[in-house]
Amino acid sequence: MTMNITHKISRPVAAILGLVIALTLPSAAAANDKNVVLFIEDPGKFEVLHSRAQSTSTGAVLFGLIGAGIEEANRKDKDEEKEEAILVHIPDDACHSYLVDAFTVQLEKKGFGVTVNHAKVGKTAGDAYAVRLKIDACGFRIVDSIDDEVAAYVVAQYRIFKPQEKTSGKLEELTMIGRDHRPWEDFQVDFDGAVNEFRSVKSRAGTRLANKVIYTK
Amino acid sequence: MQTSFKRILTLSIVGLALHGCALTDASLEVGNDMTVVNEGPLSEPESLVFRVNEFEDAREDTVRVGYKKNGFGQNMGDIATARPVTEVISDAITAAAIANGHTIGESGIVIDGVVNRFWIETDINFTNIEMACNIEAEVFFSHPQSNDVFYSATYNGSFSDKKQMGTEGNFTEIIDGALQALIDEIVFDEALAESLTAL
Repeated sequence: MTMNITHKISRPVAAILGLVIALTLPSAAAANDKNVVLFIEDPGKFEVLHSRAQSTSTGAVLFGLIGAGIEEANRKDKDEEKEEAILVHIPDDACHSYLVDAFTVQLEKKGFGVTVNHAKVGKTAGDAYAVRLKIDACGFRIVDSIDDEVAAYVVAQYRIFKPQEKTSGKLEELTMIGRDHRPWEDFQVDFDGAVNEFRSVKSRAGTRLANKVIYTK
Repeated sequence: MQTSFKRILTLSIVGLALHGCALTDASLEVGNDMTVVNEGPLSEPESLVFRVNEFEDAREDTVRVGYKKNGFGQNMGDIATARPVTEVISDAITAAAIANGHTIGESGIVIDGVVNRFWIETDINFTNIEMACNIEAEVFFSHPQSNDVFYSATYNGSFSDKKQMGTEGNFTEIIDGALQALIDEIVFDEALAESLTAL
């Protein structure tokens, strides 16, 4: 059964009703007061830092400073070869992938909404918090030159600020190094392990960053 | 001209002596700047009392926490902490508990732990020195009466930065950053907070 009801109201009453509705509706700012906007200002670059961390003394002994320079350049090439070799097995080498997912999940658990913006800091439309993230690098780096062990890592800088308070936030460093430390050769025969560790370290970085937002005073 | 050269040389030698050159061992006062400790889920359980015992040192190399390196990346002087790393970590956890509204006392929840890793790695580049420190500890929380472990976790803190010089101040800053990150892991551990709330 359908009912068609037509109410006839005078213009002044309609105006008052309109005003009441407008006042009771949440404002744009209030609607975003549980939203966090993440500006990824620099997505970072995948890098392997292994051979470069080794001594260049052989080149130096044989050919002095120029020899050391040549040896260092040679080691950089070796690291680039290692990057290419492992990147074939890493389906998603972007530094921000998994980091952004973990960041979003952690904040959503606490009732926040998350907007990701791949740009320099811009308008925030009344968001509760804004995060400016610059990822320096991610990948695998040497963590113990004595045992020649490498681990997955991500290094970033960030600022957390409250747009409505017009603060710029303190510049902070975020370094996350994987728990699994192994010789490079071990990761080369266990690509699944390398991929999992790389994802895990990025996820931990995202969760850490989210917690920093949640507990920002 | 010769006098200026002598002055520069003398200043360089004095500078190296003050900052500690790569040949000399360094004994660093780390963990003294733990006043900036974050609040996190650890602050959610009502005020608790903790007893933080000194941790066990399970590192392979218990003498040093890293090596200074020369310009060619060769290991030179030892980097060590002035206080045992076990004490440094126990003190950092104490600071974190206090900053999150808890107190320290003899009859409290017992915190024990094992330090598995405490290492600073330096990479000498052409224009800078990249330092990275990684600290890992297993931490056990036990009932004060029964001594039964009701929660345990492995926490890992890292920090890295690029510096122009391998000074003791820079090494200290990097290690303190890793200690702070280790504490963040404990302070932000939601499962730990839930275990403590359930007591």
